[in-house]
Amino acid sequence: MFRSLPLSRRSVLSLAASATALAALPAPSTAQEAGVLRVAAPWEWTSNEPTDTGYIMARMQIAETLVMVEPDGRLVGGLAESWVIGEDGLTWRFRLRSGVVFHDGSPLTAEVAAASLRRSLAGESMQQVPVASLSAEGNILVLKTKTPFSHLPAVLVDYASVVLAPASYGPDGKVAKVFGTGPFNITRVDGKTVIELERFDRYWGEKAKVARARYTAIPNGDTRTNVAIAGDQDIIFTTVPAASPRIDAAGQMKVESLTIPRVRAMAFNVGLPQFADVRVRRAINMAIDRKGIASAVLRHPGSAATQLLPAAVPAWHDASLTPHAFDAAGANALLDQAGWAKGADGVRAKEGTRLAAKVLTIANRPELAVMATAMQAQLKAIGMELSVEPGPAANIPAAIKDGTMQMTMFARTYVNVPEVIATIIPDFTRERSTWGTLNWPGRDRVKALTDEYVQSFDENRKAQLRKDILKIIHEEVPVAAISWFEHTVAVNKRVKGLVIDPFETRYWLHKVNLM
Amino acid sequence: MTTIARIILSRIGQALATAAMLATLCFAFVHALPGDLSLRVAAARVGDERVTSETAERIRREEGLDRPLIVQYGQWMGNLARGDLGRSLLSGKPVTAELAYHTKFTLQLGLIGWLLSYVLALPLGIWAGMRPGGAVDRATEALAVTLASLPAFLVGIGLITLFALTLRWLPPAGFRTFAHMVLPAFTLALSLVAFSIPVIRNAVVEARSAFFMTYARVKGLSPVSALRHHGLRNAAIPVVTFAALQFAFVIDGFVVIETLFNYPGLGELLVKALVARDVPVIMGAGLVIGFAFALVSLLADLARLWLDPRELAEARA
Amino acid sequence: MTMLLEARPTRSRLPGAIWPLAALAAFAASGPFLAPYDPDAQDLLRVMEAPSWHHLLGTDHVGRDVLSRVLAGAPQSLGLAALCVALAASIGVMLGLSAANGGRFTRAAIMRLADLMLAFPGLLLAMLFAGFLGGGIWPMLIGLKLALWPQYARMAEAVATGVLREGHVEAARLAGFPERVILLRHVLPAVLRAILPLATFGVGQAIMSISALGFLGLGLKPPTPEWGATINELLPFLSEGFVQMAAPCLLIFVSVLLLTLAGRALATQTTGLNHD
Repeated sequence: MFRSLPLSRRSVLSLAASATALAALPAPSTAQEAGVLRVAAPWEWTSNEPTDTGYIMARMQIAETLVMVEPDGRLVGGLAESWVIGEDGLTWRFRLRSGVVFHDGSPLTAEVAAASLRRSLAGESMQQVPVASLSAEGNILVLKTKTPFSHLPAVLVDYASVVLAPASYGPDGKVAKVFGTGPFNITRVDGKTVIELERFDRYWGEKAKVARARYTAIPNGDTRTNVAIAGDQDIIFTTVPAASPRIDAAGQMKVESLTIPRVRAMAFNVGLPQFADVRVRRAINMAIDRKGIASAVLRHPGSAATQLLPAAVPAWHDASLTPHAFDAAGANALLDQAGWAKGADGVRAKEGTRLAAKVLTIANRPELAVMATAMQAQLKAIGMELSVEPGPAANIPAAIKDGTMQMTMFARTYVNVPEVIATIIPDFTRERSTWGTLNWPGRDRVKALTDEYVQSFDENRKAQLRKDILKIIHEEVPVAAISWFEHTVAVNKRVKGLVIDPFETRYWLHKVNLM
Repeated sequence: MTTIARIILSRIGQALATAAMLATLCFAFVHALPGDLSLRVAAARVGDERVTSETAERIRREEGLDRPLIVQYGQWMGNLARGDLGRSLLSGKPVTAELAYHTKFTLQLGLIGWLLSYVLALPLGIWAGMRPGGAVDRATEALAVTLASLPAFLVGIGLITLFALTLRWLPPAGFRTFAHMVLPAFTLALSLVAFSIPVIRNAVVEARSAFFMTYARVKGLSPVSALRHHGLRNAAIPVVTFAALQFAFVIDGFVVIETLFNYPGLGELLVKALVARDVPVIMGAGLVIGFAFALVSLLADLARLWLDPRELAEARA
Repeated sequence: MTMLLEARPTRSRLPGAIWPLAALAAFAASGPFLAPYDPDAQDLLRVMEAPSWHHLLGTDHVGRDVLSRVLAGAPQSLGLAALCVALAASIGVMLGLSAANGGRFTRAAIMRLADLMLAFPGLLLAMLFAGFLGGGIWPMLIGLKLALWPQYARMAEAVATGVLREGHVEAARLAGFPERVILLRHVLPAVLRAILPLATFGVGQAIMSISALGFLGLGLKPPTPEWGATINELLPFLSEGFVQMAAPCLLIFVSVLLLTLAGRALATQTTGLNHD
């Protein structure tokens, strides 16, 4: 019966051949890339929600916030031209910039901004704001807080608060299509990987120099390295630091780096008997060879942390603090003094408790596990046993919740909001912080200081409070910074005018030109 | 025609049942694993370094993950009956849209890689099979065994290092143009070739030694035309069966290749969904893979019936 | 994939297949004892050093001796693969025999389950377990084992059904031998003969799966010196450490090659026996 079908084997073959041709058909040619600025970064465009992927919208300058930050840390007007705080210390009035239009052509008004802001209050740093009311008066957005909140403008830099046009939202209240106000607007989104952008000609500020841009998400670090070696992109953010020499040697792209207020740190469960004594935490801190780790693992000796934050945030860097230094002999002496004696297995113990812990690290940040294994060897020298367990990031909040967390090692940005206090509060003042202290008695002293800081509008007093907060953290080491991040950016030779911003809130692509 | 229609119908029924079972298994596996599901979803949504228990609680409430499992499963099954696979916990987009997008890429890569593997394997296999034990046979055998002993990621790294990083002929990663497809397709093809060469070669050897071939030779046909007219059709039977199975089998290879080449295929989607515990997507992908597996074996059976009508007679009997 | 095993009849004898297997087993067992250094001992002052008399294969990115690491990794990569296959094969054989010997319903249930699991991509299943449970030996073992058993069950069922139909088995049954004895004496040996080449070949495949998981960063947890994980760790340093990177690659290749060849030789042997 099949034999009688008009389909011959030869026609099957030609069918197969045309299928290949079909598969090849949707592929556009590579030749037309001349005017396109190609940007790659590890993060995928997983959803349209500002609380999830707002950082891509803000960095690629698709959507903007009311307040923005300059690379030197100054707060400047974004969609809000200026702002004032009322006599009561509670009422903030943000005057909106005039003549701002969204990518769909609709104008920015105070009502629109208020509505957009209400949706973003669920974001991590926005939750801290004690909002009493949010309203519009002409072109002024009025935000009242329940208690004084002196760093509100800084919190409004958070990407979750980018302002989107009313037409962006679907009937279910979710973002269906992103209409921002930035110098670039989205022309096409290809899956989670590629976003095609073009210059927005009705932008309110300095218009972009390139006509088109393309964002490509490349989550795998090795693949980013390969692409950088081949020079297949114009700017690649967050390349693997260890691969920098290879990328430079290939001659297609050059890696630029900048120390940023992003920290690889370890945290102790201070409630455990082995970590309750501050002398033990100090000894562990002294036993770690940060310079060695920074130069061998991270290939950048300068990234060894000497205190919580680097000099890139001058306000929160206190040069008068004694730097964390490697001193194994001192560490051993401190442990002897604290009454921890070495047992037969070489591990110290006191009153039946062994000086041992399991450190949880994040598998997505492979260097953390390598650093932890380096620390494993160094801590063995002072009689501490460390086991390393890399896993998904969610393991850390889960372990904190069920009380099994002993030690963690993670990466934390202290400038999601350009005022570090917004990160200090959740991380150092609570009984159980996900990315900070756990069961640390010193949290109450820090809380007293941060409460005063938040309510104070006196800059001199605030500077003193910052010093006090940093000192407590530095001396009691509930969390110890191991290294600071090097923000690595591979830049193609044809790129001119790139600004590398330690705050990473926007990529300054509008200033970039292609040769 | 009715026999064939009956075969097809019953097989499609089986395929649907397999697919539904596979999706159910996925649901059971994901929920049986320890760890807080909402936390994993939250970490994938807001980023590893910003996830907190509060975000997880918000997502648990919003997505209804706090409902009893049986209710969640029941709702999924109910929606499935209406052709609705639900929405991704991660992106909020319909699962059908996500699957369609990624399946398109996997099919494209799979088809090119698979055809490419036969472009390479067919001539080599037939050539080797024409003279068993000869120099060509030994050489192809060595080649097949070598390729079979190399994991796909090593082949991929080797190809990238040579063609993308050293010679700079091709881009090292991506999916936008045809040039981007060449290296992943070759990586896939080379892992497939390892297994198709011996199958083709053995099939040709078997067919050549069969009685009808001797008869054809007696009839006075040259060895090559005898093979072309009679041998190939018979040799094709095991090859087609194997080729179809192989097509279903390459899903494993896709995971590694798609990760290495930053290619947005189904394997990559599934790995991401597994990490994020995006249950609706995992179940949807299970459904698609199960159905594709069954469909491909159905196609193989039909191809075999077409090549060997004797089997059709048996099936009819 | 088992088609590769359809080796042509050659004159190879059993010892030909035994030697590579014995060599691999000896290597896996003795590897850690041959290591000149502690495979986890770091020296941050001597990272990515080129091969020398002190470090025959050089040092890695945290100054560990690469030779010691690949030697110490042998039992992880080879042993774990063998264990996976051994467990999967025993489960498969047990279920396959029950299917061949059981009633219609048992048979249908087991074989449908096997089909279902075959449709479940193996590496993904292993990932599901390995990735979620934070990368330990046990989750990976469970995942790979679950993915592998249906092959063995299918083959065991097919061989057992054939043997059960044979004349002398019928005769034994008529002679009143208990079912258990028939299964052990007549069926099991035939099944094992058929399974052995597949299993040998399977160990090679499992080595590749384990190293692929290690490469994807979902395998055994560091600092376990598993070969795939070692490749993954050293990949960023490719230009500085070609030898360091090539060592685990070559070991994976040679191990899988030996197992594939052994599998083929065994297949020839057993098909030979079947034809006698």
